[in-house]
Amino acid sequence: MSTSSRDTVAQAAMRPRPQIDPDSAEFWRAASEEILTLSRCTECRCWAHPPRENCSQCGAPMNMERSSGVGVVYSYIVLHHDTIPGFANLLPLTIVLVEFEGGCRIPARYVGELDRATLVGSRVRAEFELIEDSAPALLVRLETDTAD
Amino acid sequence: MDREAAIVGIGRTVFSKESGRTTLGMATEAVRNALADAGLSGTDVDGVVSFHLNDSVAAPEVGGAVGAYDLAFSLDIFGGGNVACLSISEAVEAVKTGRCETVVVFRSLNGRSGSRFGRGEDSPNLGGEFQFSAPNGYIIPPMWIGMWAQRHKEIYGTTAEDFGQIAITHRSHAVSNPHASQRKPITMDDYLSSRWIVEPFRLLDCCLETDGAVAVIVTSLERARDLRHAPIVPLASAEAHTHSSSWSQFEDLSTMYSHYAAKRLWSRSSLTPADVDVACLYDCFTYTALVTFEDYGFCGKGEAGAFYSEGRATYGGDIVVNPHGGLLSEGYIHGLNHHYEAVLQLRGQAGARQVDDAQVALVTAGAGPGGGAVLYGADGVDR
Repeated sequence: MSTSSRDTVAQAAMRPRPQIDPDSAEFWRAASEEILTLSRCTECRCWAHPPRENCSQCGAPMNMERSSGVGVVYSYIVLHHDTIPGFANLLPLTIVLVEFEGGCRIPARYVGELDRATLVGSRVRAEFELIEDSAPALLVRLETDTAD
Repeated sequence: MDREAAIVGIGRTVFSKESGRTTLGMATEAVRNALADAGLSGTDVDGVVSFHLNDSVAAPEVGGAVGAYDLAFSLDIFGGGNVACLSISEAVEAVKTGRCETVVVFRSLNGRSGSRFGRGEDSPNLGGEFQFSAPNGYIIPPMWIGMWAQRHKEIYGTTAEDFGQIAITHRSHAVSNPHASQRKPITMDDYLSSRWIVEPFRLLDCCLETDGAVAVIVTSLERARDLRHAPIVPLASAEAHTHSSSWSQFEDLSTMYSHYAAKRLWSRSSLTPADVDVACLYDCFTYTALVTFEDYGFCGKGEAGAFYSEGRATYGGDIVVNPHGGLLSEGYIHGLNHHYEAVLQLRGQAGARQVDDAQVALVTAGAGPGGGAVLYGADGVDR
């Protein structure tokens, strides 16, 4: 389990939570085991996010499949202003939009040194932060920072 | 029946940070002002359209509040700026097809003192795609649109100063607008030293959450010609609601819905961007104005910053963008105030900020995956 050292359970409990539905239940179940999954077509094999019952391309059923967890940073923002409850102790906080398999983009919290000149296009590896009484949070680190 | 429609009345309340009033009270005042402007009464109204996000009053309530008890057409559209132009277009179509004679379109909100879009406090549990953003707090517009703005910077080399030029230009226009919430001129130093909200956005990149209401009256062009003011004619309109309304899966985050709506819009008119005298662009953030200005074809991709800094988006330039100050400086009535301004400009009633010989105005609304536009002209302008 990976928890940010500056984090506290009390802070995390204030954060917004997902309203889990039948399409997303498996995503969150896997996330609670620190596994990133994406929706994938059983016929044409395309990937999609958010998860859905049927493929928007061919209409076939979709299943959740394990992602490699490696993605590319598409863009980023840095939060400076205490707006959303539960993040004050993490400011300034970098949020990246990461492209995983099939170009599926998911926002994640970036952990590591921020180099604004090189962040976009960088390869990152996903992990989940599990803190009791809060939802699994997707974090990413530069692939070069992660030891396999 | 297929006839022409026109805008014949505009009305609004004062814009403030704390109205102390209900959305019904403000909507009623704006509608009464618009009816008086047109020279019509509440009993002339047989259609009402509004849009909201469960933060306002329903269309028939406002009809009833001005004495219109039997509406032939009533429509509450769920949405924000993405449906502001759609709301006008639905009213126009209802008149054109003969479903009703006179339609009121209004937007009323306590956007500052009530439910604020810039805060996440009302949404602890988020469904749909937002559930995947919830645990990291990626849940409010300055974050999503900041993410898109950063992508534009990466691709086109767009700078902070490019965003700053938009804030400065729209504010310089608001100086001459007594109705605007912010009228103090700002400099590039002011812009660059304003505090970060969500990098790449500073405080002066963000619009003003506002309490207030705006109303617009639509009727047939034939009837409009007998009313108080010169009719203002919707020449063409277009919508684009794309990519499942996703703020993350949109194909190319350096464009917006406008990339799609622009093609539809210009295919429906003989006019081109060069014919537009006034553009009231949805500017919830500086970047929204920048990217939609490019997408609608007023300049090439990546060129809006230079266009503004060369003075081509203001008086004496190629086109005047947001002469009222826009959402950035007049106030955030979810874009319906842009229609008010376009009508005022095309009537020649905009006072100190009147654009010389304004004949054609483009109003846009929306950001990200969804939105639309209405192209207006003075009566008799070729479409």
